[in-house]
Amino acid sequence: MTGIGTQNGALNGTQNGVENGARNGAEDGGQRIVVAGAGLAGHEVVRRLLASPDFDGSIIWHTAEPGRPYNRVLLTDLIAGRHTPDAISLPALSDPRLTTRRRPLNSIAEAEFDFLVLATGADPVIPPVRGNAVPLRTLNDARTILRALEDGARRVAVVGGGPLGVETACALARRGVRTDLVHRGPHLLSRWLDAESAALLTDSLSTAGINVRCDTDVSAASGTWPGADLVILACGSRPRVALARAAGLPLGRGILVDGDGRSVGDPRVFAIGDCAQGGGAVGAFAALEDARRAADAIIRQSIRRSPKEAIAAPFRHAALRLRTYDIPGADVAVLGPPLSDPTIQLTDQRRRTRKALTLDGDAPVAAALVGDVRAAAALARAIGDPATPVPGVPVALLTSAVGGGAAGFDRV
Amino acid sequence: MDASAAVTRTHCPYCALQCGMELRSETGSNSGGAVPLRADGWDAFPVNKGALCQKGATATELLNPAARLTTPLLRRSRDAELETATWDEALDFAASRICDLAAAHGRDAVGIFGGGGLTHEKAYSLGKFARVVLQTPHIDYNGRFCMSAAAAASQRAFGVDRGLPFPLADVAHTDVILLVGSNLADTMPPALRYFTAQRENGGRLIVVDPRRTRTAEQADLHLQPVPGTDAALAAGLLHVLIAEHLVDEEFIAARTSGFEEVRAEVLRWWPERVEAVCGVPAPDVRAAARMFAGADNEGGAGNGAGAKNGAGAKNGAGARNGAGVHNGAGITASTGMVLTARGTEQQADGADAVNAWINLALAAGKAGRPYCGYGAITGQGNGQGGREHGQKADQLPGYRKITDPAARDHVAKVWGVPADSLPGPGRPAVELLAACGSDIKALLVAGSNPVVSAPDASFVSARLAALDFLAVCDVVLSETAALADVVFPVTQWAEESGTMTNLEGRVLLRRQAIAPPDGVRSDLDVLGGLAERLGRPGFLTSPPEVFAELARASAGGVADYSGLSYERLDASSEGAGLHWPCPAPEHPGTPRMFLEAFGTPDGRARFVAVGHEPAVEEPSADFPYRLTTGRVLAQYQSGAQTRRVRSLNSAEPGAFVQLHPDLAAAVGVSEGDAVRVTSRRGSAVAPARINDLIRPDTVFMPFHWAGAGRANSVTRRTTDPVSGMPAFKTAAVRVEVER
Repeated sequence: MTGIGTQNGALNGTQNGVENGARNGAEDGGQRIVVAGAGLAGHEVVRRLLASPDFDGSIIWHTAEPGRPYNRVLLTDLIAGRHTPDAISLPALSDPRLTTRRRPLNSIAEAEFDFLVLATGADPVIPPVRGNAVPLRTLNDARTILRALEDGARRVAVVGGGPLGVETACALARRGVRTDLVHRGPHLLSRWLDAESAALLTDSLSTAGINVRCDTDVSAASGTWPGADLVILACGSRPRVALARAAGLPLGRGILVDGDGRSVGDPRVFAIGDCAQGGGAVGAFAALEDARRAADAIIRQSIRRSPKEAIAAPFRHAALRLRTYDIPGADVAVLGPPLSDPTIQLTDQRRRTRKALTLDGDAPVAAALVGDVRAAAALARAIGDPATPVPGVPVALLTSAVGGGAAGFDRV
Repeated sequence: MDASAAVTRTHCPYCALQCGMELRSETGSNSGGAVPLRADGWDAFPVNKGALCQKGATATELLNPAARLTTPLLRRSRDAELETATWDEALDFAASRICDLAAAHGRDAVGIFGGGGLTHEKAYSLGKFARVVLQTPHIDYNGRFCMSAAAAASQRAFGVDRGLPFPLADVAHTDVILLVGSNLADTMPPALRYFTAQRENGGRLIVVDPRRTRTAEQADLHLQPVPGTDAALAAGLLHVLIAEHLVDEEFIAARTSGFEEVRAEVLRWWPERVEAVCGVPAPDVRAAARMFAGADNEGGAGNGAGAKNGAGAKNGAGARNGAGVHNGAGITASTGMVLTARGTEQQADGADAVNAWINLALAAGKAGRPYCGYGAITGQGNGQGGREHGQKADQLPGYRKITDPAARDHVAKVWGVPADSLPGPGRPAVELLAACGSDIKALLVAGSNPVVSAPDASFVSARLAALDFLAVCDVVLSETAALADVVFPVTQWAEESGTMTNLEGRVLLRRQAIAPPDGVRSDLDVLGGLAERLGRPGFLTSPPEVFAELARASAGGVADYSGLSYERLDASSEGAGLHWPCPAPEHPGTPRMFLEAFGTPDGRARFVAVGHEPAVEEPSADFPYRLTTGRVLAQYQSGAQTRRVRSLNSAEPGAFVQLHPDLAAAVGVSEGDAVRVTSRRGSAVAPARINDLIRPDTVFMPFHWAGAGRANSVTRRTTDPVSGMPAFKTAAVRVEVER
């Protein structure tokens, strides 16, 4: 798969013109690393570098938001009442080699580094909506929302039927708040699910008391949602690329990177998490995976020997895995690229579950699960890793928690 | 029913249960006089209550003189064969080789490798022999392969390491058991009754194992993680407890410290991430956490997620709990236990993984209360006691640290030597074996067969072969003994008296039932004979005397045996033994620990903030699957004993490779085909057993055999940095048909 763990990766990197910065840094007493951003990806890359016995450099860490770094994945947990806002901090990192600067990095050109890791995240897309409208991107946003709920907001509209919108609506419903989920597209999760799967999901959300409205553009109509005391905006995000743009790094929607997470314009610069645009997935799993790859690449380049044992291969994760707070039927997992033209479909209208799988020959290439996701972990592996054994009767992939044709489907 | 004089009550030679046995003469059926005794269960002994497994019931076969070594063997030069020798010849030869090699290379060039099956008297004497006679720091033992991770984790969390802090029978009375990486239905069958009783009492059992073992079949909920990902799974369960307000805040505040760091760590492990890393469905992670907390059955039997049928009905009950806010009533009142074994411990992060499970027990308030707690299911017969009295590289008797000046003073005084003459800490087992042939020139092995049982066994065999001198004390000519320059035939369980400590910390007296065959002596006699020849006459060889000295040496230590004696153990409620600590002759022993306070200086249990990193050796294109290893019912450890018992060997005559039908199909293997399992270290070949009781990405081999089917040819020497435990249970492998 990726070239991780091979010596070639390191050699190629060196040949790509890294040797000046890297080697000079090493001679001066270690690599100088600058990390910008303190979300999951930024925290993870700092944590991994400090934990590596092979890392002998120093790190300057720019954290933009106030307070301790926290786990952004759990913001919807706050809405659901599972944690208090000060309780979702990430583990404190303290180390003599680490200097934390509680301000954003201003300019790449002014920074001194052998390697720079951009983990600047993304900004929420804010449509022109009037009234009491708040995005849910930061801990401060969550605090604002919680305050509004505690102040008596009784009916909340969530604008945006993507992953964050569905999760937020579920969190609100779990909290017992009357919730409208308003989506511009034809059906929920339209980038991820087909209409039939989305319809079952909508049924389940409706049963839980969530009022789902699709084909509805709030900003185009009245500019607000009638009856809502609070509007939560979950209209997607835009990679934060100002620093990279100012430095002239190649951009697409995000900072364009190679398989190691290196900017295609400057091998000394990594971009990870939501600010980056590689070939792969998005979200928290991808951010953690990006951070691991970047940390490995930096360490590989700073040591001049091959690792004693093979470096860990990446784990296989779902492309989309919703957190839906036990709302019956609302679990969603999408494995591989968005589903198209499924080969096998299992739909249970009564239990509102649907599992669809696309095969290329006998090889699974994409799957989507709604309502019953117990097969997700095994499917992620089967799709992500060609060495994973797959059952002779592929439908069994949709029915087993550990993979394999063990669920009553006869082998042929 | 009659002549009680003909009955000897003693304990089984095998696992850590140390089942009570009654040995009787085989009168009448003197069929060639092959087996002189018969073993029956001892009804009154509280652990097994009369039950014996197949291994215990047939243990007397090895008492047949024809089945065991009865004369010393000597290899007069490295190229020569082993020949029979007299005891004096063998002892003289061994002493002179040790003396010469120590003179030439220094005292540190001599090492000892002991075993967790040895009696206290032997284990203690090996430690004393190393420090006082050889004056080498290098002594360690095969318990490093067995209990070290759990031991290190328990010490970090509780300040004390005792396998179970409660009697095994308590298991039957707890509400929920979380059993991690143990197949005790096969490895210690007489223990299963307590788990069955627990479920009959209305309790629930959660089993964590990559395989659907006979034990997992009993479970209300079976989690089947990718081997080596347990720390992440445990963190995921604790994450759920925190998110759903199921932690016992009162207990945490009153009896523990360190929770905030652990909270921050586990909040990185939300169930969907755990699902991706461990391969366990997030709904099952939640179901397990709720079940463990006793919070899953409110509103009736709604929760079927992953339970029993495995079919994954939705999170019934959990979904009804409002915003996951439980009122707490009835939760802290429930009881629970976390029990771990080798599956979670024999990993490159074994100690951290165990602490992750302990964190879960502490956060749920399920420790330090009746019918609650964390326990390790100890493996070897004296796996507990063998790690308490100085057989470990960093340790002195009484579970004392060899680096602690007060401990050194105390023990040196008992031994009658200056404290500064005692060596410091030596190399842990894997390092010790790896140094053979280089820094270590001479090695004495007792009660262990590392050629079969050590990780990366081909490497270990080569290291042992590279020694200038190897001496082995054993009952039979094990694969390791076959490499030796001198083999001492030593007494086994029914042929000697000795004490053992079972998995409950229960100190037991094994009583001699039969005289050893001519030509056989105790390991204590070997050490005494060598000590005399090395200029240290008077080394104690009588088991009661050795025990009395051990008791004095342990006084004031964590594992305090100073109130114990052969007389007390013999008299203790019909010989049921006494639980340590037992610091005075009138002290009743300590069946249940931690009810008042934990063993740390401030009496609080410690949360240990541990994360999870992927195994250092993850599957790759060349080695795309994982091997995990383990045990079968009819064999024990390296098989040196059980492979010599006819009925056991016909039940399980050789190694096998368990693999899933999908994997078998992918690599073209049919049932019974010879399968080659290859890692970066080496390969093993054994017949295929194809079934869907294992993850499709994982293969399993039992490790009891030598030769082509030796699973440890494939395993790795990588060790847990905290405990020195080798990562037996996860190796990246490829799987092929052997043609």
